[in-house]
Amino acid sequence: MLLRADTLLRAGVLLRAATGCLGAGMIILPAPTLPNHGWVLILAGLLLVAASLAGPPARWRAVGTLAAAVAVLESALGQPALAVLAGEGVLILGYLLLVDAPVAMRGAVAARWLRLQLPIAFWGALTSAIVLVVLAVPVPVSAWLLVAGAGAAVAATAIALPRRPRRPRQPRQPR
Amino acid sequence: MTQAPVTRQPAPDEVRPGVAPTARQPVTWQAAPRLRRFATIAVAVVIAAVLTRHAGLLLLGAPVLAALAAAGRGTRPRALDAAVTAAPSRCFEGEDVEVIATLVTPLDEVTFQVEPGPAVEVAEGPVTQVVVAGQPARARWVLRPQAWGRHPVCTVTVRCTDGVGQASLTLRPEPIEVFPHPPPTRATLLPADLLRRIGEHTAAAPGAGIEFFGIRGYRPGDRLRDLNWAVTSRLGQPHINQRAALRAADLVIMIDAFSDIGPPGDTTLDLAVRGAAGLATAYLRTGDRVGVVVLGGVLNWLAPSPGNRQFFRIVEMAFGVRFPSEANPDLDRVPRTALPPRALVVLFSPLLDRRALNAVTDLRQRGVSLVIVDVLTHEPPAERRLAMTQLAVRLWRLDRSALRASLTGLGVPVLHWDSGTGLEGAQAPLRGRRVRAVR
Repeated sequence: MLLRADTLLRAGVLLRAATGCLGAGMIILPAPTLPNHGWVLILAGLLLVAASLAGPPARWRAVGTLAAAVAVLESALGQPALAVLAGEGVLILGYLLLVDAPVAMRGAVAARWLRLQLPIAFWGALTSAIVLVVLAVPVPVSAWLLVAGAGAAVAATAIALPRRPRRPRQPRQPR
Repeated sequence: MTQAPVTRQPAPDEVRPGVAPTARQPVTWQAAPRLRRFATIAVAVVIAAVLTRHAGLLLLGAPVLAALAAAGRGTRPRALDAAVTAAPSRCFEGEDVEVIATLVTPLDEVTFQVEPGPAVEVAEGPVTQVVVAGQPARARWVLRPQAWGRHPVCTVTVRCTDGVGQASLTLRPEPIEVFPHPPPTRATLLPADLLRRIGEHTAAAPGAGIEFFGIRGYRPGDRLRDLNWAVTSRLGQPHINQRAALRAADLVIMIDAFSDIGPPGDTTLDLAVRGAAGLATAYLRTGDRVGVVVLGGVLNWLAPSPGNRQFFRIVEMAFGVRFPSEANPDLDRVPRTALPPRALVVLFSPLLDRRALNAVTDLRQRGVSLVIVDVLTHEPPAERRLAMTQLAVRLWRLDRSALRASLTGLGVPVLHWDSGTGLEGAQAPLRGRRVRAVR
């Protein structure tokens, strides 16, 4: 019993620590390019990350989303280099994936849960790399690019939304 | 010719031990919190890119959008095969009950959370258990009910996540019967007049028992082994030892169910039923007949009867006592067989309700041998800073003392029993005394 509790605690602490590292990274990475009063955002972001990890505010799911939104705001204000933005995007994805992890998981279960997240992380990183390459190629500023991005966002959301399963077609009866 | 051994093949729908038979539970799938999070961040990124006219910001949202697209949508069933069982279905307070929740439908992530009922504690297993990677999910807990009654021991909430969809189920096991744990005691409370039936209690009359009763002169027919040689040699005439007779007793336990005060699992009614179970066990063990009368709600009674089965009859009757009522009990309705004239009546009561005190008066007028066991262990809460509340509590204590003194003055012994001590300690003031009928 004690051993199981210890295993649970260890797996949970490790996952929370990893989430904290990713969260802190996504807040700190765009910090050097922030304007003068940017420290307020950094402080708010770090506090939100800390709140999303433990304590009563961790139950409130919006805390994690707010922390990621602060990171987006920092990047929008600082406008760092493309490579930094790509890294920031991957950090945001990692943080959002891990902040959803169930608290009570044993070591083996936590490993299996992490393995389930791997394909999502892989596709996220690959997409980030592709977009980075596309943006790195010098092209004139075009509104079409923004429209394409917005369209991709809408399409991805529409594809990912849960749908009702179709009723399987009845097999024809042989005559 | 020898026959080949026949091995029994289990039927396809046969339930394996330890595996709960599942039932289809309809569910409604909703967007998982992750979907909402990802969509919120993607929209925020697109808005930021448009407002700042900086296409590079789309790099922040690209991984999230890709993750949304990559998240498995799966074919989410409209109903899930789930079940929860609690075994054994009957136990005593403080014994372990194994609860197993099963979800046969394979899903990405299943979180089981158990919420124990009132006065039930989790003895083994984490409250929240997670199963991942699409295998049939199963969670096990060991619960320990600390209060008697017929009630469901827990509620299990199952939260299922599949891709970016989420559904939740609430499972409740069948109610189990928790018998009160009888406190250790002995059958020491006895009426002054025992029955004619042979039993195990020493009567105040000569007979064929083992306890010494007295000495008398020898009569033809007496056994020689009963001769008291010391008295015989001193008086010069043969004298023999007399033994006390062994007789049986009838015990009627009354439970005052009008008041139920205290924290769950330790209320006055909990204590009363535990005490009743303890006394019933002790008297049934000595071969006496035990009956029960429940005051409160609907007036219920069970005529005195011997044997171990009577214990379970009494306890099962007690399961129905938590029934609030404004009715006044009319003891005239209790038949003579349920309240025999020479029975010892033990009333477990917190002495708070006027109707219970009226019943005491009624019993006194009937001339039964009556003992009251006061089961009130909690005082009204007093605020230390407010002198008035402390004064009120002191007045309340005085009132209680006056009530007990008046009952004792009427010839009805009042014993006080705290759940922390055995029932035998509560009976100590009456040890060696017989309870006389009062009128």
